[in-house]
Amino acid sequence: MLKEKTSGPTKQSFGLLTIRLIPIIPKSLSKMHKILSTYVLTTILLTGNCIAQDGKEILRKADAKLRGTTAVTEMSIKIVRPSWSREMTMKSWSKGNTLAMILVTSPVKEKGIVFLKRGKEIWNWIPNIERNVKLPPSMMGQSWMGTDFSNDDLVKESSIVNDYTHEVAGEETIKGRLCWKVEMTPKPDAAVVWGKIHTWVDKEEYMQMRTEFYDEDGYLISTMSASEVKMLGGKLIPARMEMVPEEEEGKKTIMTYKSMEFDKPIEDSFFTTQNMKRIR
Amino acid sequence: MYCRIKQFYCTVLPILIVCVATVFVANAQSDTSSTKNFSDVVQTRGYVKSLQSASFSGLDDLVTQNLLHWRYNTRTYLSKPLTLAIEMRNRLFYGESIKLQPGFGDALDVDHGYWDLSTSIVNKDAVVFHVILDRVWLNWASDKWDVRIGRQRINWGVNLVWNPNDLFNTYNFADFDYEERPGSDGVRITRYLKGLSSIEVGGKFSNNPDSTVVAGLYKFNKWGYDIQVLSGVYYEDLTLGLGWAGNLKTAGLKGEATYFHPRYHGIDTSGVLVTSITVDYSFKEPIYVTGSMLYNSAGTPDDVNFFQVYTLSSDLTAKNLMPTKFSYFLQLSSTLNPLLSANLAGIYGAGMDLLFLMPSLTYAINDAWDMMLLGQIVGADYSGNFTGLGNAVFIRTKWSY
Repeated sequence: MLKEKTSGPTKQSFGLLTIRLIPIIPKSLSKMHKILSTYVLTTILLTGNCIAQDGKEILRKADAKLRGTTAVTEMSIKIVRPSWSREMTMKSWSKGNTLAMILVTSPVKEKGIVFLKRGKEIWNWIPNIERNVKLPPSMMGQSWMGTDFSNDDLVKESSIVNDYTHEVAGEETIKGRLCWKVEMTPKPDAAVVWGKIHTWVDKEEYMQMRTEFYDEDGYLISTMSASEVKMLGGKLIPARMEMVPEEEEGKKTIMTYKSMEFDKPIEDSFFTTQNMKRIR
Repeated sequence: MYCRIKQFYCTVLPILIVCVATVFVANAQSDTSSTKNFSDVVQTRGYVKSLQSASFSGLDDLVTQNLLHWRYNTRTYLSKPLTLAIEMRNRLFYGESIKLQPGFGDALDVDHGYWDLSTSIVNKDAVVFHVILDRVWLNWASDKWDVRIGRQRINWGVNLVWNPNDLFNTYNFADFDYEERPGSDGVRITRYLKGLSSIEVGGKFSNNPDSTVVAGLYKFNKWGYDIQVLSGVYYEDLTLGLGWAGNLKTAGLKGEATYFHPRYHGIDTSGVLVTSITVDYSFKEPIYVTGSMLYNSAGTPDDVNFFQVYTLSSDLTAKNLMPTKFSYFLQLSSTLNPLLSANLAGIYGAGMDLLFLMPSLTYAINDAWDMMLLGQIVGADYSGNFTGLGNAVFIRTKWSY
């Protein structure tokens, strides 16, 4: 079984939203003294619908709910450490599996930085030097600032659906919601970091309410909890997700959806390098 | 100088005034339909930096310099298609090194553009306050077009480190404190084609045909590569260039090549080829590595004045990015933790054994404040011995707004 294990809990799927984070290091472009480390996140997964009892179909459906044909999302991501915390906000546009654009809206240092994904290609627009930099694919596999969650490789689609076998292990109530418990095991040839994943999916609304990530030895590494379920873009969605690593007190990462809009027509021409300079 | 200031006030300013007036009239008429906040129309940002530096070759000859630097950027969204940008670089130099360089304020107050938008407001032996407008442009945009006139950055580089394709804004990377890079006075017209293709024409204003740049660029995306070809007049040369950015497996593979051929006596004289190739790769740990090579057919293996590389040479051109024929670059960057990153960059010029090292540490104090510690070490072969040519240490504090 091919598994990539980096030091500590670096690569994690943020539940169904399989957060995909790319650390961007566009140094050397203008100067070599500084690493402009900026990071991006996108939520890309798509699927169909089907029989609910099948574990895979449960995740497919949950996944499809968050993706729509297109999605426009405003969100924040906050890293909490015992002695400090940092927050970044961004707006993202996505269409299907292959097209995504992300605009960083704060903090002020990174404001205006844009990422574009088209299939396997990724570009980074750096406004202060007015340049577009193409990023090497190896950068996409990076963890996000060494935080509690990371990217499972941006170019790879639907990891949580395609890279695992799924088994419904019963029903449990999480935060007052009746959920299926789905146990996920990586497929033999899947390049994923987890030994197994347990996830609890709301039976009515297909929301991933809780997810546990285990290493190859079966130890729990971190837990994602969803909360603040509310209507976003006409769908009932948990607006807040908290990723807490085990045995690392005071550390967590919180992702919050501020707004979501689904299925609004977006032309493919929106996702172009020229448009990166224009969105604001 | 007066003449150029006059040119600016006679040409660009009236255009700007007319545009602004038109927009305000138009906005006034449509006020009933929509009300915009001032902050939606005018956006301001920038930073204040304090750069303390010490340059020395030994501890007996250390010279300190202080620089307070305020950058002020505005974007005014005059109407849907029209945007006005004004960016200002205000720097206050004071202390020892200014005293040791007579004429520092005068040397700084040279605007290499068509318009003179630079002035040393205070120009004394130990204090110099210099102000320059390094961006003043008006952009008109439609779905398929972008037309930008004024002082702007026309950035045609796709490679990292060295950009022989960047005909308009050559930059000296040793000047780490100028990330925005200088602007060019001119006009740029872009026509967007299907997909990621576009055609761009840029021209630099000049009174002298031998000190202008007029060139066209066609770019497209094919086989997972961004590819561009360019051609034009570059000062006294004709140029032909090629650039690409793509991937080799999971590494980035980028490059640029530009050929310069003299416009005069073209048959008798040979041209100059400048080309650079870069590979960048991000390891898991996370270490990001960039390796690059530059070939300059006109490069000399002889001794050169190292200040060409070390100081902020404004005479650097796309044709002469490095004095040596073969130059190599290697950089290692690592995010040690979410707040602290380390970087080591080195350049080696073969022949004269020119070595330039730039290590740095950057620390994010909070969302607005950053600190950086940076060193520069330069050495070269001197009469058969490798000799240190100078060192410098910089401490920078930056507040962004």
